[in-house]
Amino acid sequence: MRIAVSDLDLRYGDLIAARKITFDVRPGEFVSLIGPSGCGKSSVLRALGGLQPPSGGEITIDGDRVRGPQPTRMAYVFQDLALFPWRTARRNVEVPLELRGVPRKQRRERAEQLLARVGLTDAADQHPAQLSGGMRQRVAIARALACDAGILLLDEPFAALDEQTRLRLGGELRRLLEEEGKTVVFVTHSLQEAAYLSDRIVVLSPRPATVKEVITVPSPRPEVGSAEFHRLHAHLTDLLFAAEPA
Amino acid sequence: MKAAAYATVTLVTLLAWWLLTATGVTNPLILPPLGDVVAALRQQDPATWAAAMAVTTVRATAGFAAATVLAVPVGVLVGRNATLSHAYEPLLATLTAVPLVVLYPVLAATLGLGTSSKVALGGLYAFFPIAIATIRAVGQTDPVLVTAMRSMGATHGRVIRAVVVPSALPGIVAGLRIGFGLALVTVIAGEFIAGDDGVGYQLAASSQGYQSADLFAWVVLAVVLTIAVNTVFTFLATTLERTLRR
Ligand SMILES: Nc1ncnc2c1ncn2[C@@H]1O[C@H](COP(=O)(O)OP(=O)(O)O)[C@@H](O)[C@H]1O
Ligand SMILES: [Mg+2]
Repeated sequence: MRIAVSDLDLRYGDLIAARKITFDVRPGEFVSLIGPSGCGKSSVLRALGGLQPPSGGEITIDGDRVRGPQPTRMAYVFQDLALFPWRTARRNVEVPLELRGVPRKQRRERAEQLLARVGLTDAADQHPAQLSGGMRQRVAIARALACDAGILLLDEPFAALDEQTRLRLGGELRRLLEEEGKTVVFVTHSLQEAAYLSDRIVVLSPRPATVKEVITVPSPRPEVGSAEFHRLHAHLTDLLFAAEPA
Repeated sequence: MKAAAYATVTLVTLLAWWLLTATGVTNPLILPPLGDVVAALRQQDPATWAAAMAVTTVRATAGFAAATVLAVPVGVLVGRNATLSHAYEPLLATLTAVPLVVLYPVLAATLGLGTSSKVALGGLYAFFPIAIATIRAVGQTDPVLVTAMRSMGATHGRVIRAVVVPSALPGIVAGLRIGFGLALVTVIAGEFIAGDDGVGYQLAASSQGYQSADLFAWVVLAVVLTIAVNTVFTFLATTLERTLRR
Protein backbone atom coordinates (compact mmCIF):
# COMPACT_ATOMS: atom_id res chain seq x y z
CA MET A 1 0.00 0.00 0.00
CA ARG A 2 1.25 3.40 -0.92
CA ILE A 3 0.98 6.38 1.39
CA ALA A 4 1.27 9.86 -0.05
CA VAL A 5 1.56 12.93 2.19
CA SER A 6 1.41 16.26 0.41
CA ASP A 7 1.75 19.74 1.86
CA LEU A 8 0.46 18.54 5.23
CA ASP A 9 -0.08 21.31 7.81
CA LEU A 10 -0.96 20.52 11.43
CA ARG A 11 -1.99 23.10 13.99
CA TYR A 12 -3.22 23.04 17.59
CA GLY A 13 -4.92 26.42 17.87
CA ASP A 14 -2.10 28.91 17.39
CA LEU A 15 0.64 26.33 17.76
CA ILE A 16 1.98 25.08 14.43
CA ALA A 17 3.15 21.50 14.80
CA ALA A 18 3.97 20.70 11.16
CA ARG A 19 4.26 22.71 7.98
CA LYS A 20 4.09 21.63 4.34
CA ILE A 21 5.17 18.06 5.01
CA THR A 22 5.54 16.06 1.80
CA PHE A 23 6.82 12.50 1.47
CA ASP A 24 5.57 9.14 0.32
CA VAL A 25 5.90 5.56 1.45
CA ARG A 26 6.00 2.79 -1.13
CA PRO A 27 4.42 -0.60 -0.65
CA GLY A 28 6.53 -2.84 1.60
CA GLU A 29 8.87 -0.02 2.54
CA PHE A 30 10.19 0.78 6.03
CA VAL A 31 10.29 4.56 6.40
CA SER A 32 11.46 6.35 9.54
CA LEU A 33 10.46 9.82 10.64
CA ILE A 34 13.25 11.30 12.71
CA GLY A 35 13.45 14.64 14.44
CA PRO A 36 14.10 16.22 17.83
CA SER A 37 11.64 15.71 20.69
CA GLY A 38 8.56 17.88 20.41
CA CYS A 39 9.09 18.67 16.74
CA GLY A 40 5.76 17.18 15.68
CA LYS A 41 6.55 13.54 14.77
CA SER A 42 3.69 12.02 16.76
CA SER A 43 1.33 14.62 15.32
CA VAL A 44 2.29 13.66 11.77
CA LEU A 45 1.87 9.96 12.58
CA ARG A 46 -1.54 10.60 14.17
CA ALA A 47 -2.59 12.44 11.03
CA LEU A 48 -1.43 9.47 8.90
CA GLY A 49 -3.54 7.20 11.10
CA GLY A 50 -6.60 9.40 10.67
CA LEU A 51 -6.61 10.25 14.37
CA GLN A 52 -6.06 13.94 13.76
CA PRO A 53 -7.49 16.02 10.92
CA PRO A 54 -4.95 17.93 8.80
CA SER A 55 -5.14 21.72 8.98
CA GLY A 56 -3.99 21.80 5.36
CA GLY A 57 -2.76 19.50 2.62
CA GLU A 58 -3.76 15.87 2.35
CA ILE A 59 -2.85 12.28 3.03
CA THR A 60 -3.89 9.47 0.73
CA ILE A 61 -3.56 5.72 0.88
CA ASP A 62 -3.65 4.06 -2.51
CA GLY A 63 -5.26 7.26 -3.72
CA ASP A 64 -8.03 7.40 -1.05
CA ARG A 65 -7.99 10.40 1.18
CA VAL A 66 -7.57 9.56 4.90
CA ARG A 67 -10.51 10.97 6.89
CA GLY A 68 -10.54 8.81 10.01
CA PRO A 69 -9.14 5.59 11.45
CA GLN A 70 -8.95 2.82 8.85
CA PRO A 71 -8.45 -0.28 10.98
CA THR A 72 -8.39 -2.63 8.02
CA ARG A 73 -5.53 -0.73 6.40
CA MET A 74 -3.50 0.77 9.24
CA ALA A 75 -2.52 -0.49 12.67
CA TYR A 76 -0.93 1.67 15.32
CA VAL A 77 1.65 1.04 18.01
CA PHE A 78 1.50 3.95 20.41
CA GLN A 79 4.38 5.66 22.13
CA ASP A 80 3.11 4.54 25.55
CA LEU A 81 1.82 1.25 24.12
CA ALA A 82 -1.78 1.72 25.27
CA LEU A 83 -2.18 -1.84 26.53
CA PHE A 84 -5.36 -2.42 28.52
CA PRO A 85 -4.07 -3.04 32.04
CA TRP A 86 -7.05 -5.17 33.09
CA ARG A 87 -6.60 -7.56 30.17
CA THR A 88 -4.01 -10.33 29.95
CA ALA A 89 -1.47 -10.24 27.11
CA ARG A 90 -3.61 -12.64 25.10
CA ARG A 91 -6.81 -10.68 25.71
CA ASN A 92 -5.02 -7.50 24.64
CA VAL A 93 -4.05 -9.11 21.35
CA GLU A 94 -7.65 -10.25 20.94
CA VAL A 95 -9.03 -6.68 20.94
CA PRO A 96 -8.84 -6.02 17.18
CA LEU A 97 -10.25 -9.51 16.55
CA GLU A 98 -13.15 -8.80 18.91
CA LEU A 99 -13.84 -5.57 17.07
CA ARG A 100 -14.03 -7.51 13.81
CA GLY A 101 -16.43 -10.02 15.36
CA VAL A 102 -14.11 -13.03 15.19
CA PRO A 103 -15.61 -15.86 17.31
CA ARG A 104 -14.04 -16.53 20.69
CA LYS A 105 -12.24 -19.75 19.84
CA GLN A 106 -10.61 -18.46 16.65
CA ARG A 107 -9.74 -15.26 18.48
CA ARG A 108 -7.91 -17.16 21.11
CA GLU A 109 -6.02 -19.31 18.63
CA ARG A 110 -4.99 -16.35 16.49
CA ALA A 111 -3.85 -14.38 19.54
CA GLU A 112 -1.76 -17.28 20.77
CA GLN A 113 -0.24 -17.65 17.30
CA LEU A 114 0.72 -13.99 17.24
CA LEU A 115 2.15 -14.07 20.75
CA ALA A 116 4.26 -17.04 19.69
CA ARG A 117 5.32 -15.02 16.64
CA VAL A 118 6.77 -12.33 18.92
CA GLY A 119 8.26 -14.89 21.30
CA LEU A 120 5.76 -14.54 24.15
CA THR A 121 4.11 -17.95 24.31
CA ASP A 122 4.60 -18.24 28.06
CA ALA A 123 3.34 -14.78 28.93
CA ALA A 124 -0.12 -15.11 27.36
CA ASP A 125 -1.94 -15.13 30.68
CA GLN A 126 0.05 -12.37 32.37
CA HIS A 127 -1.24 -8.84 32.78
CA PRO A 128 0.84 -5.96 31.36
CA ALA A 129 1.94 -4.90 34.85
CA GLN A 130 3.56 -8.31 35.32
CA LEU A 131 5.61 -8.01 32.12
CA SER A 132 8.95 -6.30 31.46
CA GLY A 133 9.12 -3.26 29.17
CA GLY A 134 10.42 -5.34 26.29
CA MET A 135 7.67 -7.92 26.73
CA ARG A 136 4.96 -5.25 26.84
CA GLN A 137 6.45 -3.92 23.65
CA ARG A 138 6.03 -7.29 21.98
CA VAL A 139 2.42 -7.54 23.16
CA ALA A 140 1.70 -4.16 21.55
CA ILE A 141 3.29 -5.35 18.30
CA ALA A 142 1.34 -8.62 18.37
CA ARG A 143 -1.84 -6.61 18.89
CA ALA A 144 -1.02 -4.38 15.92
CA LEU A 145 -0.39 -7.50 13.80
CA ALA A 146 -3.79 -8.82 14.88
CA CYS A 147 -5.35 -5.91 13.00
CA ASP A 148 -4.25 -7.63 9.76
CA ALA A 149 -3.60 -4.22 8.25
CA GLY A 150 -1.09 -3.69 5.48
CA ILE A 151 0.38 -0.60 7.09
CA LEU A 152 1.94 -0.34 10.55
CA LEU A 153 2.43 3.03 12.21
CA LEU A 154 4.88 2.85 15.11
CA ASP A 155 5.46 5.79 17.43
CA GLU A 156 8.83 5.47 19.21
CA PRO A 157 7.95 1.92 20.20
CA PHE A 158 11.31 1.31 21.87
CA ALA A 159 11.74 4.69 23.56
CA ALA A 160 11.40 3.19 27.05
CA LEU A 161 14.07 0.55 26.51
CA ASP A 162 17.85 0.62 26.90
CA GLU A 163 19.95 1.02 23.74
CA GLN A 164 20.94 -2.65 23.46
CA THR A 165 17.45 -4.09 23.90
CA ARG A 166 16.23 -1.39 21.57
CA LEU A 167 18.52 -2.41 18.72
CA ARG A 168 17.90 -6.12 19.27
CA LEU A 169 14.11 -5.72 19.34
CA GLY A 170 14.34 -3.33 16.42
CA GLY A 171 16.17 -5.92 14.36
CA GLU A 172 13.65 -8.61 15.28
CA LEU A 173 10.79 -6.27 14.46
CA ARG A 174 12.26 -5.34 11.10
CA ARG A 175 12.63 -9.04 10.13
CA LEU A 176 9.15 -9.88 11.37
CA LEU A 177 7.51 -7.05 9.46
CA GLU A 178 9.48 -7.87 6.35
CA GLU A 179 8.26 -11.48 6.53
CA GLU A 180 4.72 -10.25 6.98
CA GLY A 181 5.12 -7.92 4.01
CA LYS A 182 4.10 -4.84 5.98
CA THR A 183 4.52 -1.24 4.93
CA VAL A 184 5.94 0.62 7.92
CA VAL A 185 6.16 4.20 9.14
CA PHE A 186 8.39 4.33 12.17
CA VAL A 187 8.80 7.40 14.35
CA THR A 188 11.99 7.73 16.37
CA HIS A 189 14.36 10.31 17.77
CA SER A 190 17.25 7.84 17.76
CA LEU A 191 19.78 8.21 14.92
CA GLN A 192 21.05 4.68 15.51
CA GLU A 193 17.61 3.18 15.27
CA ALA A 194 16.70 5.09 12.12
CA ALA A 195 20.00 4.25 10.42
CA TYR A 196 19.80 0.60 11.42
CA LEU A 197 16.19 -0.17 10.45
CA SER A 198 15.05 2.02 7.59
CA ASP A 199 14.87 1.85 3.82
CA ARG A 200 14.38 5.60 3.80
CA ILE A 201 14.58 8.25 6.48
CA VAL A 202 12.50 11.43 6.53
CA VAL A 203 14.48 13.99 8.56
CA LEU A 204 12.31 16.63 10.23
CA SER A 205 13.32 20.03 11.54
CA PRO A 206 12.55 21.27 15.06
CA ARG A 207 8.97 22.51 15.53
CA PRO A 208 7.20 23.33 13.34
CA ALA A 209 8.25 20.13 11.63
CA THR A 210 9.27 20.56 8.02
CA VAL A 211 11.01 17.97 5.87
CA LYS A 212 14.74 18.73 5.86
CA GLU A 213 15.73 15.83 3.69
CA VAL A 214 14.61 12.36 2.68
CA ILE A 215 17.58 9.99 2.85
CA THR A 216 17.61 6.74 0.93
CA VAL A 217 19.57 4.09 2.81
CA PRO A 218 21.82 2.09 0.47
CA SER A 219 20.72 -1.45 -0.21
CA PRO A 220 21.59 -3.87 1.34
CA ARG A 221 21.25 -1.89 4.56
CA PRO A 222 24.67 -1.28 6.12
CA GLU A 223 25.56 -3.20 9.25
CA VAL A 224 26.02 -1.40 12.56
CA GLY A 225 29.69 -0.47 12.86
CA SER A 226 30.44 -0.57 9.13
CA ALA A 227 32.00 2.44 7.40
CA GLU A 228 28.79 2.92 5.43
CA PHE A 229 26.77 2.98 8.66
CA HIS A 230 29.10 5.61 10.12
CA ARG A 231 28.71 7.78 7.04
CA LEU A 232 24.94 7.57 7.30
CA HIS A 233 25.03 8.27 11.04
CA ALA A 234 27.30 11.27 10.51
CA HIS A 235 25.05 12.63 7.78
CA LEU A 236 21.99 12.33 10.03
CA THR A 237 23.89 13.99 12.88
CA ASP A 238 24.80 16.91 10.62
CA LEU A 239 21.20 17.33 9.54
CA LEU A 240 19.74 17.11 13.03
CA PHE A 241 22.27 19.23 14.84
CA ALA A 242 22.94 21.79 12.10
CA ALA A 243 22.60 25.30 13.46
CA GLU A 244 19.15 26.67 12.83
CA PRO A 245 18.94 30.00 11.00
CA ALA A 246 18.32 32.59 13.70
CA MET B 1 -7.59 -14.71 57.68
CA LYS B 2 -10.36 -12.14 57.28
CA ALA B 3 -12.85 -14.48 58.94
CA ALA B 4 -10.50 -14.93 61.88
CA ALA B 5 -10.17 -11.15 62.25
CA TYR B 6 -13.96 -10.69 62.18
CA ALA B 7 -14.43 -13.47 64.73
CA THR B 8 -11.83 -11.93 67.06
CA VAL B 9 -13.37 -8.45 66.84
CA THR B 10 -16.84 -9.86 67.48
CA LEU B 11 -15.66 -11.90 70.46
CA VAL B 12 -13.77 -8.97 71.98
CA THR B 13 -16.82 -6.71 71.58
CA LEU B 14 -19.12 -9.24 73.20
CA LEU B 15 -16.65 -9.80 76.02
CA ALA B 16 -16.35 -6.05 76.66
CA TRP B 17 -20.13 -5.73 76.62
CA TRP B 18 -20.49 -8.59 79.07
CA LEU B 19 -17.77 -7.18 81.37
CA LEU B 20 -19.22 -3.64 81.33
CA THR B 21 -22.73 -4.79 82.19
CA ALA B 22 -21.85 -7.63 84.57
CA THR B 23 -19.67 -5.33 86.71
CA GLY B 24 -22.47 -2.77 86.82
CA VAL B 25 -20.34 0.14 85.56
CA THR B 26 -22.99 1.09 83.03
CA ASN B 27 -26.60 2.05 83.41
CA PRO B 28 -28.70 -0.92 82.23
CA LEU B 29 -31.02 1.54 80.44
CA ILE B 30 -28.14 2.69 78.25
CA LEU B 31 -26.43 -0.66 77.86
CA PRO B 32 -28.52 -3.62 79.00
CA PRO B 33 -26.74 -6.78 80.17
CA LEU B 34 -25.72 -9.11 77.36
CA GLY B 35 -27.75 -11.90 78.90
CA ASP B 36 -30.97 -9.83 78.78
CA VAL B 37 -30.41 -9.00 75.13
CA VAL B 38 -29.81 -12.64 74.28
CA ALA B 39 -33.00 -13.50 76.15
CA ALA B 40 -34.89 -10.76 74.28
CA LEU B 41 -33.56 -12.09 70.98
CA ARG B 42 -34.71 -15.58 71.93
CA GLN B 43 -38.16 -14.34 72.89
CA GLN B 44 -38.63 -12.69 69.52
CA ASP B 45 -40.55 -14.74 67.04
CA PRO B 46 -37.99 -15.51 64.26
CA ALA B 47 -40.81 -14.83 61.80
CA THR B 48 -41.07 -11.24 63.13
CA TRP B 49 -37.42 -10.35 62.72
CA ALA B 50 -37.08 -12.22 59.46
CA ALA B 51 -40.06 -10.27 58.10
CA ALA B 52 -38.70 -6.93 59.33
CA MET B 53 -35.28 -7.60 57.84
CA ALA B 54 -36.80 -8.73 54.55
CA VAL B 55 -38.97 -5.60 54.29
CA THR B 56 -35.99 -3.32 54.98
CA THR B 57 -33.66 -5.20 52.63
CA VAL B 58 -36.16 -5.13 49.78
CA ARG B 59 -36.73 -1.40 50.21
CA ALA B 60 -33.03 -0.56 50.40
CA THR B 61 -32.27 -2.77 47.40
CA ALA B 62 -35.08 -1.23 45.35
CA GLY B 63 -33.94 2.31 46.14
CA PHE B 64 -30.32 1.39 45.45
CA ALA B 65 -31.21 -0.31 42.16
CA ALA B 66 -33.21 2.69 40.94
CA ALA B 67 -30.38 5.02 41.93
CA THR B 68 -27.81 2.84 40.15
CA VAL B 69 -29.81 2.62 36.95
CA LEU B 70 -30.00 6.42 36.86
CA ALA B 71 -26.68 7.46 38.38
CA VAL B 72 -24.28 5.26 36.42
CA PRO B 73 -25.42 6.35 32.94
CA VAL B 74 -25.65 9.98 34.08
CA GLY B 75 -22.17 9.66 35.60
CA VAL B 76 -20.72 8.15 32.41
CA LEU B 77 -22.33 10.85 30.27
CA VAL B 78 -21.18 13.72 32.48
CA GLY B 79 -17.77 12.18 33.17
CA ARG B 80 -17.01 11.76 29.46
CA ASN B 81 -17.65 15.45 28.87
CA ALA B 82 -15.17 17.90 30.38
CA THR B 83 -17.59 20.86 30.25
CA LEU B 84 -20.45 18.96 31.85
CA SER B 85 -18.28 17.49 34.60
CA HIS B 86 -16.83 20.90 35.46
CA ALA B 87 -20.36 22.25 35.74
CA TYR B 88 -22.05 19.37 37.54
CA GLU B 89 -19.49 17.73 39.78
CA PRO B 90 -19.36 20.55 42.36
CA LEU B 91 -23.16 20.82 42.29
CA LEU B 92 -23.58 17.13 42.95
CA ALA B 93 -20.93 17.19 45.66
CA THR B 94 -22.81 20.01 47.40
CA LEU B 95 -26.14 18.24 47.10
CA THR B 96 -24.62 15.18 48.76
CA ALA B 97 -23.96 17.23 51.87
CA VAL B 98 -27.59 18.41 52.13
CA PRO B 99 -29.38 16.36 54.81
CA LEU B 100 -32.01 15.13 52.41
CA VAL B 101 -33.65 13.16 55.19
CA VAL B 102 -35.49 16.41 56.05
CA LEU B 103 -37.36 15.77 52.82
CA TYR B 104 -38.85 12.62 54.25
CA PRO B 105 -42.09 14.27 55.47
CA VAL B 106 -42.56 15.65 51.94
CA LEU B 107 -41.95 12.23 50.42
CA ALA B 108 -44.29 10.64 52.95
CA ALA B 109 -46.98 13.24 52.21
CA THR B 110 -46.78 12.62 48.46
CA LEU B 111 -45.97 8.91 48.34
CA GLY B 112 -47.63 7.75 51.56
CA LEU B 113 -46.14 6.13 54.64
CA GLY B 114 -45.64 2.75 52.98
CA THR B 115 -42.82 1.32 50.91
CA SER B 116 -42.71 3.95 48.11
CA SER B 117 -41.60 6.88 50.25
CA LYS B 118 -38.86 4.77 51.89
CA VAL B 119 -37.59 3.47 48.58
CA ALA B 120 -37.57 7.05 47.26
CA LEU B 121 -35.57 8.30 50.26
CA GLY B 122 -33.08 5.43 49.99
CA GLY B 123 -32.75 6.00 46.25
CA LEU B 124 -32.26 9.74 46.69
CA TYR B 125 -29.42 9.13 49.13
CA ALA B 126 -27.79 6.46 47.01
CA PHE B 127 -27.93 8.53 43.81
CA PHE B 128 -25.36 11.20 44.63
CA PRO B 129 -22.40 9.12 45.79
CA ILE B 130 -22.87 6.75 42.87
CA ALA B 131 -23.12 9.58 40.32
CA ILE B 132 -20.10 11.42 41.77
CA ALA B 133 -17.95 8.30 41.98
CA THR B 134 -18.86 7.44 38.39
CA ILE B 135 -18.10 10.94 37.09
CA ARG B 136 -14.71 10.95 38.80
CA ALA B 137 -13.76 7.42 37.78
CA VAL B 138 -14.86 7.96 34.19
CA GLY B 139 -13.00 11.28 34.03
CA GLN B 140 -9.78 9.45 34.84
CA THR B 141 -9.96 7.17 31.82
CA ASP B 142 -6.56 7.18 30.11
CA PRO B 143 -7.17 9.08 26.83
CA VAL B 144 -4.43 7.03 25.16
CA LEU B 145 -6.50 3.87 25.69
CA VAL B 146 -9.50 5.57 24.13
CA THR B 147 -7.44 6.67 21.10
CA ALA B 148 -6.00 3.17 20.76
CA MET B 149 -9.47 1.64 20.81
CA ARG B 150 -10.67 4.16 18.22
CA SER B 151 -7.67 3.45 15.99
CA MET B 152 -8.68 -0.20 15.97
CA GLY B 153 -12.08 0.76 14.63
CA ALA B 154 -14.24 0.87 17.77
CA THR B 155 -17.50 2.86 17.73
CA HIS B 156 -18.27 5.33 20.54
CA GLY B 157 -20.52 2.78 22.24
CA ARG B 158 -17.79 0.19 22.05
CA VAL B 159 -15.25 2.60 23.54
CA ILE B 160 -17.58 3.14 26.52
CA ARG B 161 -18.19 -0.57 26.97
CA ALA B 162 -14.66 -1.84 26.37
CA VAL B 163 -12.52 0.98 27.77
CA VAL B 164 -14.38 3.54 29.87
CA VAL B 165 -16.50 1.19 31.97
CA PRO B 166 -13.84 -1.42 32.74
CA SER B 167 -11.29 1.23 33.57
CA ALA B 168 -13.73 3.12 35.82
CA LEU B 169 -15.24 0.03 37.41
CA PRO B 170 -13.26 -0.04 40.67
CA GLY B 171 -14.23 3.59 41.31
CA ILE B 172 -17.85 2.96 40.37
CA VAL B 173 -18.02 -0.06 42.67
CA ALA B 174 -16.64 2.03 45.54
CA GLY B 175 -19.48 4.50 44.88
CA LEU B 176 -22.03 1.70 44.73
CA ARG B 177 -20.87 0.41 48.10
CA ILE B 178 -21.33 3.82 49.70
CA GLY B 179 -24.65 4.22 47.91
CA PHE B 180 -25.96 0.92 49.17
CA GLY B 181 -24.88 1.67 52.72
CA LEU B 182 -26.68 5.02 52.59
CA ALA B 183 -29.80 3.48 51.08
CA LEU B 184 -29.93 0.97 53.92
CA VAL B 185 -29.38 3.59 56.62
CA THR B 186 -31.95 6.00 55.22
CA VAL B 187 -34.59 3.33 54.66
CA ILE B 188 -34.16 2.36 58.33
CA ALA B 189 -34.35 6.06 59.27
CA GLY B 190 -37.52 6.45 57.21
CA GLU B 191 -39.06 3.45 58.91
CA PHE B 192 -37.98 4.90 62.26
CA ILE B 193 -39.67 8.23 61.56
CA ALA B 194 -42.95 6.83 60.32
CA GLY B 195 -44.51 3.55 59.26
CA ASP B 196 -45.48 0.23 60.73
CA ASP B 197 -42.93 -2.28 59.54
CA GLY B 198 -39.23 -2.89 58.90
CA VAL B 199 -36.15 -2.83 61.13
CA GLY B 200 -36.45 0.93 61.67
CA TYR B 201 -40.01 0.64 62.90
CA GLN B 202 -39.04 -2.14 65.32
CA LEU B 203 -36.19 0.00 66.65
CA ALA B 204 -38.59 2.91 67.15
CA ALA B 205 -41.24 0.76 68.80
CA SER B 206 -38.85 -0.77 71.31
CA SER B 207 -37.06 2.50 72.06
CA GLN B 208 -40.33 4.27 72.83
CA GLY B 209 -41.20 1.73 75.48
CA TYR B 210 -37.74 2.00 77.13
CA GLN B 211 -37.38 -1.70 76.47
CA SER B 212 -33.61 -1.55 76.45
CA ALA B 213 -33.06 -5.26 75.97
CA ASP B 214 -35.53 -5.35 73.07
CA LEU B 215 -34.01 -2.25 71.53
CA PHE B 216 -30.54 -3.77 71.68
CA ALA B 217 -31.84 -7.01 70.26
CA TRP B 218 -32.96 -4.99 67.23
CA VAL B 219 -29.66 -3.14 67.09
CA VAL B 220 -27.89 -6.51 66.98
CA LEU B 221 -30.23 -7.63 64.22
CA ALA B 222 -29.59 -4.43 62.26
CA VAL B 223 -25.84 -5.02 62.54
CA VAL B 224 -26.27 -8.62 61.39
CA LEU B 225 -28.33 -7.39 58.45
CA THR B 226 -25.67 -4.84 57.49
CA ILE B 227 -22.93 -7.46 57.61
CA ALA B 228 -24.99 -9.93 55.56
CA VAL B 229 -25.85 -7.30 52.96
CA ASN B 230 -22.22 -6.17 52.74
CA THR B 231 -21.01 -9.71 52.24
CA VAL B 232 -23.48 -10.27 49.42
CA PHE B 233 -22.49 -6.90 47.93
CA THR B 234 -18.78 -7.76 48.00
CA PHE B 235 -19.46 -11.08 46.33
CA LEU B 236 -21.57 -9.47 43.58
CA ALA B 237 -19.03 -6.69 43.05
CA THR B 238 -16.20 -9.19 42.65
CA THR B 239 -18.26 -11.16 40.16
CA LEU B 240 -19.05 -7.96 38.25
CA GLU B 241 -15.39 -6.97 38.08
CA ARG B 242 -14.45 -10.45 36.89
CA THR B 243 -17.02 -10.24 34.13
CA LEU B 244 -16.32 -6.72 32.93
CA ARG B 245 -12.58 -6.47 33.48
CA ARG B 246 -11.20 -9.40 31.56
N1 LIG C 1 -3.24 17.51 21.60
C1 LIG C 1 -2.39 18.56 21.57
N2 LIG C 1 -2.83 19.79 21.86
C2 LIG C 1 -1.99 20.85 21.83
N3 LIG C 1 -0.70 20.77 21.52
C3 LIG C 1 -0.19 19.57 21.23
C4 LIG C 1 -1.02 18.39 21.24
N4 LIG C 1 -0.25 17.33 20.91
C5 LIG C 1 0.99 17.82 20.70
N5 LIG C 1 1.03 19.16 20.89
C6 LIG C 1 2.19 20.01 20.71
O1 LIG C 1 2.64 19.88 19.39
C7 LIG C 1 4.05 19.83 19.32
C8 LIG C 1 4.48 18.54 18.67
O2 LIG C 1 4.15 17.46 19.49
P1 LIG C 1 4.40 15.94 19.08
O3 LIG C 1 3.80 15.71 17.74
O4 LIG C 1 3.95 15.07 20.18
O5 LIG C 1 6.01 15.92 18.95
P2 LIG C 1 7.03 14.70 18.98
O6 LIG C 1 6.26 13.43 18.81
O7 LIG C 1 7.95 14.98 17.85
O8 LIG C 1 7.75 14.75 20.28
C9 LIG C 1 4.54 19.97 20.76
O9 LIG C 1 4.87 21.31 20.98
C10 LIG C 1 3.35 19.57 21.59
O10 LIG C 1 3.36 20.25 22.81
MG1 LIG D 1 6.08 11.82 20.10
